[in-house]
Amino acid sequence: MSSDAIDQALAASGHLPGGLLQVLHGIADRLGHIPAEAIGRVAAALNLSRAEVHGVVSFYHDFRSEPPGRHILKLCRAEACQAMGSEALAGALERRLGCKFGETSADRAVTLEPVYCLGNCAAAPSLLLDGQLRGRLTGERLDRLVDTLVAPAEERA
Amino acid sequence: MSAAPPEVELTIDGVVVRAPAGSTIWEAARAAGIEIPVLCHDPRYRPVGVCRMCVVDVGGRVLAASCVRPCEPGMKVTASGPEIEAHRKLLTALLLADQPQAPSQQRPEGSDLVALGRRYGLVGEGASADLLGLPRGTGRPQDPSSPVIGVDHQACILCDRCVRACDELQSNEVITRSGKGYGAKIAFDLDLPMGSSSCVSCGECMDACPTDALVNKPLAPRRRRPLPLAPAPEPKPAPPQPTALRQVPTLCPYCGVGCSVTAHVDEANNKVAWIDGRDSRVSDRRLCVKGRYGFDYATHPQRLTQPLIRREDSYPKGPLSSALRVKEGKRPGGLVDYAEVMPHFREASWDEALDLVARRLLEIRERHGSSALAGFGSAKGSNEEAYLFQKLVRVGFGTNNVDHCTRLCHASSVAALMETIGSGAVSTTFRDIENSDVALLVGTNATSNHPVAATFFKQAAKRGCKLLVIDPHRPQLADFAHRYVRIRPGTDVAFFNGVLHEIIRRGLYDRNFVAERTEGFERLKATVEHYSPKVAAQLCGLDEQEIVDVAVTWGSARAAICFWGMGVSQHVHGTDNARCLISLVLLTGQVGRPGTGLHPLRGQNNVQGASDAGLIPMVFPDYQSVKDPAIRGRFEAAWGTQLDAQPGLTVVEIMHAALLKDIRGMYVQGENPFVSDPNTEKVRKALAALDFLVVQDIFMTETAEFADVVLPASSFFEKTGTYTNTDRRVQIGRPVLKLPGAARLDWDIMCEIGRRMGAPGFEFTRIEDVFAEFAALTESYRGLSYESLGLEGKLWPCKDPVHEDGQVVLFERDFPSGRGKFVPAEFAPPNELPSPEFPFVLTTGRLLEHWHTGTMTRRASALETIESEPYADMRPADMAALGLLEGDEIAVTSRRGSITLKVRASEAPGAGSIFIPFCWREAAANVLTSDALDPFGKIPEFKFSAVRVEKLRAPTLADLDGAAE
Repeated sequence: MSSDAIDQALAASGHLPGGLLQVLHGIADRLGHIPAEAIGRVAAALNLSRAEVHGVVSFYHDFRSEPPGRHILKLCRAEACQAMGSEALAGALERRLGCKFGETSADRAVTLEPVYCLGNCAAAPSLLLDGQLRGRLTGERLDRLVDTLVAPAEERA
Repeated sequence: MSAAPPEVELTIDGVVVRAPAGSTIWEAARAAGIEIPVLCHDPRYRPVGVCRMCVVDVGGRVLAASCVRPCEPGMKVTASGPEIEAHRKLLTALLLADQPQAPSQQRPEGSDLVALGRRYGLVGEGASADLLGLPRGTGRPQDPSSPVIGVDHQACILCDRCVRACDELQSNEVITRSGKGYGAKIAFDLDLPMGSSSCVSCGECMDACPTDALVNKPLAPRRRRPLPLAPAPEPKPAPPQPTALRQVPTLCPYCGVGCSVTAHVDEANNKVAWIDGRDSRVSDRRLCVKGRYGFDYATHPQRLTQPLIRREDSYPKGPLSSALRVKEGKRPGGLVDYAEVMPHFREASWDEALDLVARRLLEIRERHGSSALAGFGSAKGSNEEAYLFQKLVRVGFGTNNVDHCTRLCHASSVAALMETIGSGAVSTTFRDIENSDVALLVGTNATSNHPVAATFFKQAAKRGCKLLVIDPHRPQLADFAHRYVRIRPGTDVAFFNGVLHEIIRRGLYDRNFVAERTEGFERLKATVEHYSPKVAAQLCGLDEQEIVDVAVTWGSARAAICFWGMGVSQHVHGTDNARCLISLVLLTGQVGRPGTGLHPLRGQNNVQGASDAGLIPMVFPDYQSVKDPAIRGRFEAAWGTQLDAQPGLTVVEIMHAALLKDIRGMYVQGENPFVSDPNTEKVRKALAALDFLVVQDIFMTETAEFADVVLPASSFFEKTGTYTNTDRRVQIGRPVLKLPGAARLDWDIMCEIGRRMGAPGFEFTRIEDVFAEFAALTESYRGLSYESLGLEGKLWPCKDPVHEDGQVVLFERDFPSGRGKFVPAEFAPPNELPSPEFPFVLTTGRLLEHWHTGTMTRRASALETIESEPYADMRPADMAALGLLEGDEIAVTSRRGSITLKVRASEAPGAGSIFIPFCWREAAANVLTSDALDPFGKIPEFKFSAVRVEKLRAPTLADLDGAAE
């Protein structure tokens, strides 16, 4: 399956001048991450060195090397949100999900990541859940939000 | 009339400076003698301006990085001063704070960063220890995985010099910057350990590094068992402490590129501490893994240090080590087992050994005539040694039976070149590719065999020169090619006839050049007439369009150059292959101008010089025919004796003659025909059949096992001599080490034998006098001397060696033969075609790490650590069809013998082909090869033998346990 996705991404944008980023986006969109095997394939197809492709992939946080959880939760930990209590929320999130920032919860429900300013300081503290912005967080609201993410997995289990 | 490039005028630190427009402030300052410190910059590669150490005040809002800021007219630059120095000091302190508190490794010569630290009083005695009170170190890891380079990521300042050295100079593109921000670090491939990455260990990154992040490791043999020695080693006292190192400008001893090096010598311990590249017109300070890390063979404990004479009870002769007596299957060990071989010899004095050699050779000459004697000289020796060796054979032995390994490499190319244009040398240097817009690379795996030349080819490709790579075995250079064409093995003539056909059909040839400077065009046209691209494509297993593309690209080039290697020459049709390439160059007039020409890439460091010096059976020095009475008369007068008028036998012919007892006595200097020559079984019988064999070498070679007398000689690093590289550049190699034990200089031994045989003209005391005698007898070297060669050497021909570097482009107006001759060739199949019994095509060749028969490189600890075990390359699809996995043991069998070794998966061989490097004595590829010869060049067909491949067994758990010990 991942092999098909790599082929499709290469077919869609491999011919573009400087098409590396588009190809990587294409793979990330299809698979949610850039598997290690993709780097050699993309390098060969675009006649780049593997080191070059690795350098680009590792530069951008959103080109993940591992598949993420079902949801991606990015909590803002920049100055304004910190001033409004986001560090306490961060600690609570880590405890609730049982994983640290940059990791995925054991049930694969949530990948927890930091972000540094979402431009939503007026409504701090903020987070981004699967690309959607949420502001004016409190411990309680965050708990309820996480309930909706974790519950389906618990039901399935 | 060319206008001078426009200049700009600016002021740097109050000095008025004029600089070419477009140059940076740093360049302008340097040209004016104003040093601006840098960490991230080296003029050899693209400036990036990341370290900010070179900042200067140009009157702007902020300081500017001088390595990237271009000069502007009227600019006023302050390059030093309290404010700027304060900035540089702060920057140095910040960088030093990130360095590891206790360095895990340090450059012996001291790093640029530490030098800056000293300059600003931050390192060394009385330095401010706390460095602004910052936390020390970054906590980044170390990577000890490479056998030659230690990596300490914590010492890295992310200057990107290693990245650019790897990308831009060597074009290996292994190193990148991984991650970002404070987490950024350099990474190899996919952030692999350096030792498991695609790194080829050229050391360019280590050379570039301004800190202690990339540092040479001490070379150390890694062996599980103690090395067999004879006699047993005495317990050694602790080595004396190294004194100050002595720097010697010399050369790399390996390939025909002839890179310039500086050897850093620890004289107290008589060893080379390390080697780095030296500025030169050949190599631009670049080196490969052999040149930089392959030097410690010279001080290997197995060096021969006393003359040896075979014991009476060790006759009749034959191979001594059990490894060589095994006729089929696996042979143990990568080196001759001294414990087994040495007891068959006794040590002798030089007088006894030399007298014995002279007496036995004279006896054979008396009884069987001069033609019963023969000599193999060496392309690893100097011009002087080659000259003396052929003189000894011609004057002392009285025969022209003298040859060397050029017979096994470019003999067919030289035969074709002599026949068509009257000169066997390259028409231009390899760096002339900088002026080419198309380059044809045929049958050359330059990244392994001419690694530093390959870096210039890759750079040319990146500049826009179109590389046309033609090879059945996909070379790494194909990654940089405009077109890579994988022809079927042995179909070169068909392919190039197709290209010639298409160029003529499309009228893409140079009519003026053909009319004015060539002859035989109509004959060529008639021959290639029936090789339409369609016909040729069928013969070569190609698409018609591939042939047309090559024809059109070459035919429409402004300046096109042709390089070729052993893939062209090592065939029974090798001369035909080369004739086709020469026809292509003549037809399109691509010779005699910058960026054009013919360049057979020469293999050994002095194969050009050894040929120039006359180590060839048909010619005296400088390719002067032995058959020509006038020439012979001149040499008879110069050497004071009568000379043989018959051309002598070539390498493989000498072996055949030994089998028939036509050759009875041989002198082999610095060659190892037992491993290098085709059809080992026949060579074994031939060497055993000799009445007398004297081998002069630095180690007990496989060939020396057959010897009556073994003479301990000098390694490259112990002698003075001149060496001529593939470009025709004559350079001086200078002594670096003292000779071990009673070993003697090669030229000194040859003179001794000459004198003891009663031959005239061997009373030399200085190597310079040998060179002078040789040079005076040639056209090409005349006028050159040790004084005029200097540090960079000279290209021959050189009309005015005092003022000129020598002629880069030859044949500007005419060829030595007058007109260039088209010699058309018809396609004919290889000597031995695959059959149901032997379905695979075997191609032999070399590895990046191992040189020739491995006598030197398998005793170079770094090289043997990187590649220590025989293997064959096969395509994954072919492996799958035979049920093979990588690492499986296979038996490879030809009509002549069988070897066993491991198999590796590689996309380089073509379908149905198998590649085996010939350096492994324990799985010697030449057991399989055929000794059928090209009728003109007398070169064997190393590139095509029919073989069978069988699976033996997969490695068992026990094997793996053994490997883990």
